[in-house]
Order: sequence, then structure tokens, then C-alpha cells
Amino acid sequence: MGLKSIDNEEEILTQIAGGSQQAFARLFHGYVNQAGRIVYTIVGSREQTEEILQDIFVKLWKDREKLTSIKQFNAYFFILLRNHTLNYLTSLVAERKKQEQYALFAQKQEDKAPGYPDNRLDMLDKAIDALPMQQKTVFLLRAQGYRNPEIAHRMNLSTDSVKKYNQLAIKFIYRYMKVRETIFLSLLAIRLFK
Amino acid sequence: MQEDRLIYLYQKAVNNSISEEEREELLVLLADPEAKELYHQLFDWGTRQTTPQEDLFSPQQAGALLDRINKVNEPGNRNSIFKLRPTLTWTAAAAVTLLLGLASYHLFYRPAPPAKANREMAQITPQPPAKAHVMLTLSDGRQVALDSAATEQIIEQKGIHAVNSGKGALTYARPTENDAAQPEIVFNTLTTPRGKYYKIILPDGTQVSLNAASSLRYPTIFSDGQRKVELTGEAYFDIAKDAGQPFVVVTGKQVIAVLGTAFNVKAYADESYIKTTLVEGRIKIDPRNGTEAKLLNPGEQAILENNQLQIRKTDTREDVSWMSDMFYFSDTDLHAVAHQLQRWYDIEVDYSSLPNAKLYGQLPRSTPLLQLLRAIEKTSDIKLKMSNNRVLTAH
Repeated sequence: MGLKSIDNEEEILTQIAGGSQQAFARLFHGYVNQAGRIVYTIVGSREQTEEILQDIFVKLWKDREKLTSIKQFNAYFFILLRNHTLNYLTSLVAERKKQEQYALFAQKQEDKAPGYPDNRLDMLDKAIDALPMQQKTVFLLRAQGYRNPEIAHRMNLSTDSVKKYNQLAIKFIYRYMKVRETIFLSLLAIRLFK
Repeated sequence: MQEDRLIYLYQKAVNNSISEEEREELLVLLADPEAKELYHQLFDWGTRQTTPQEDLFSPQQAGALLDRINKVNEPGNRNSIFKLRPTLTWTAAAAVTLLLGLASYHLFYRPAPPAKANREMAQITPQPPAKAHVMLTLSDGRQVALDSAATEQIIEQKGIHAVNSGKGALTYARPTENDAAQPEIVFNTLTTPRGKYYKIILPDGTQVSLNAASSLRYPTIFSDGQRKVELTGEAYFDIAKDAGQPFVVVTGKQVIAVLGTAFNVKAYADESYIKTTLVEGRIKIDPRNGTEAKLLNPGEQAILENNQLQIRKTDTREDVSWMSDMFYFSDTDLHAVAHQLQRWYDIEVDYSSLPNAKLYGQLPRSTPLLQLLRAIEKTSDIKLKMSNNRVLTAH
């Protein structure tokens, strides 16, 4: 088994079940780097690793009353980590597929009527639509004038993650829009002003 | 199913020798429902392989992550994400990062306002008065409208040629050494009306972009060891290097001395300050009030207001965004925003009605005024309207 239990684990779990945030913090710090390394090995991205861990620990707290009935927490956590990572990967791959389909669509549109403005507007709509949820949210919030720290605070992400998602979103849209920045900006303005 | 491939890639991931493309492939293979059993085995195996390494998260990073988790865990805070405003927005783009790249493209060409977007607004807004022209005033008082020339136009005076490209730029020829007759030094003045801007290339190669409602007076040849121009309004200077001939920009209250550099000066008579923003190089600002002149470094801004010269660090994008034909507001006072709108859309403003507020945002200057006002309204609690005689009022 790859995950090490922490000292006084049983007692800590009982305290968590009783609502102790301090005990929860000890459990978190005891597992975060062990688990983080495993997930990171597979997904290869710090931001995504954080997202996966966040989801798991949120779930643990939510179901904290059940923690006392778990005999071997490290084994339980291991299964949780394994399953959640797979779920995350599956939705990640599904999102990428959506983006690829969009790329095909964009190519077809461009072949059909290159540079036609209404066409582009349509493409922009669809490009934004094809973004993964987090990227899309960050992108639209940025477009509405929110600043990174504010978005990070509201979305409960780190500022670095917000920056990264925004870069990814812009990179994606640019790749398929193939328009110059200013046109892109005006288009976005028109799109958002409708 | 490609089990061998999946195993191979998984091993590479664990050994940290996987490429980006391979990682993509690995994730796709893992997401296949049929691979679930194998994934369990590999996950199990991989976990046992993981040798103790440097911690992925520093104590601070782990602490920050825990804070975020606790925030979600707070009772009643399950959906702390704020709702996306469905459509309208103030800023045009997430493209703050991209704005810099825009400067080269689109520089001095102002696209015609989108006719289609204006149509429905024509009923509620009186048409703007016919636009005035960009004018060049020669030393003898003659005036030439520069922006009405569809093709190249050559303006000649006292042995000096200036070429108006018809595309928003006026270029003075560099005087050649072997000119038989020494041309006479005369002064020209370039004036832009509200809503238009123009670029001029002075005889020494210095490029000046003149923003709306501004004017620049300059000699047609520089001599006597000094290059001196006078500005009212706003301009961006990209000074041609010439150590022997310092470049001097005189505005009402201050003098800027330059060796070779790029900076923006905003010195409108209807605003109480002169703002000088240095993009590169070094300049010295003399407030001409007996107090000491100050040196400005790149990224710094000098503000002369009430006879006080203050220097501060600044986001230079705000001050040079007009060069990319953009409005860019970052913590900008509403009054300052209104001044810009007044000069660009040729409107009047009831300044006394404006509340004290700061705005953030970014939009192309080609955005119709009403859309822009609506955007401000949607993203702040400021309500702005245009009355029939084209006066902007807050209510």
C-alpha cells in the first residue's frame, strides 16, 4: 500500500467527525503531498492536481460523520484518490474531444466562407462554448473586467490557476479564430454587447 | 484495446520521462471505460513505485489549498461562485495581456464607425455634427486639410517638402547636406479635431502621434543644436536618437528634455494636470516654476498638478492604449474617463453631475458611444445618459 497513515489517525478521525477543523487540517497536511505526488504523476499538471485534491477533501469533510466507521483510512483514501482521479481524467478527455470537434467545425467554416464577419462571430460563440468549464468561466469573467485575484477568490482557485486558465482559453480561441487581435477584440465586444 | 501501449506510457509517466504528446495519449487511453481494470492495477503499482521525492506542495501552497477547501466547506457556501453576467460587459477582452501586441497593427488608422450598429441608435441620439478636419497650418497662415486627401499629397513651402500619405500620416523630408539654397526655418502647426488622430514624422525622423483635440507646433527644419516642439493636448513621442541635438517638448507649464526615447504627454487645457509617461529611455522634466527638474525612468509617470510635480510608477498601457485605438481604464477616475469620451465622441459633459468613481475596462474606440455607456452602466452603479443636445450626464 502506497499511502502512509498519520500519527494518532483514529483519534484525529473521531475529532473530525465531531467537527474539529484543526484535526481536519492535520489530516490534510498528512496526506496532501503523498496524494499530490501520485496524482501529479498521472495528470502532469499542478493546477489539475490541486483541483482533484480539493474535490476529495471537500467530500471528506462533507461526509465527516462516516469517518469513524472506516477501519483503515489510508486504504479508503487510496480508493477515493484512484476513483476520483479517473473520473476527472474522463471528463478532461471528454472536454478535449469537444474542443477537437470545434476545431473541425472552425476549419470547415473557414473553408466555406473565409473571413466573413458574421461567420466569425458565430465561430467565437462556439469557441467560447467549447472551452472547458473552468477556462470558460475565467475567460468570461476576465472579459467582464474582473481581475485575477477577484476571480480567484470567487472561484476558489489560486491566482496562478486563474492566470493559467485564462492563457489556455485565449490560446485555444486564437488558434481557431485565426484572426488578428484587434478584430478579435471588436468581435468580442460585439458579441458581449448584443 | 492497446494495453501494452497504455502500460508503456504509464511507466513513462511514473518515471517522469513522458512527453506532452504522450501524456495526452495516455489520458485518452485511461479514459476508455474498458481500461478501468488495468488502470486500477497501474494506479496501485505506480503508487508503490513512487519514491519519496521533494514535496509537490510547499507548506505555504498546501496551506493555501486548505484555505480554499475550508472556504467551500463553510456552511451555506456551497455555491460561492458568482453568476456570470449573461451578456453585456464593459471590457472587450481578457486581452489585457494581448494589448501590447496590438501597438504595431492598426496604429494610425481609425476604422469608420460601424454603420450597422449605429442605425437603431440614430433615433435616440442626434447625429454628431459634421466632423472637423485634421489641419496643417503653414507659417504664412494657409491651412491644408490633411484627412480629406484620398491620395498622396505633397505640401511644399520655402524649400521644404512634406508628404501627406492620405492614410493618416504626414512626413517631412530630411534636408540633404548638398542643398544649394539653405531652406528657411518656418513653423508649422498640426491640429487634430475631436474624434481623430494623426501621425507626423518630423524632419529628424522623430515620430509623433497626435491624439484627438490636440496640436503640435514645430519647425520644418531643426537647427542650432536643439529640436524644440510645442504641444497642447496629448501626443506620443518616439524620438530619433541624436545626442548632439536634445529634443525638447514644451507644454504650457512644463518642459521635457530628451535624448532618444519614447513617451506619452497629456497636457490638455481643460484638464488640470500634465501627465508624462515614459515608455523607454530617460527624460528630464522641468516644471518651470522654480522647483527642481526631475528625471523619469521607464515605467514611471510624472504628474504636474497645482504646481506640484509628482513621480509614480504606472501601468503605461493605460496611457498609450489610444495608440492602439483603444480605451483602457485601470482604476481611472470617472472624470478623466469623461474627458476622453468628450474628446473622442465630440460630446459635452456635465462634469458636476458625475460621482466620484473609478472605472476598469477596455474597449475599442470604434465602439458606438451608447453601447459604451450601457456597458459602464451594466458593470457599475453609475447611470449615464445623453441628453438631446449631446450632453453626457449622470443621474
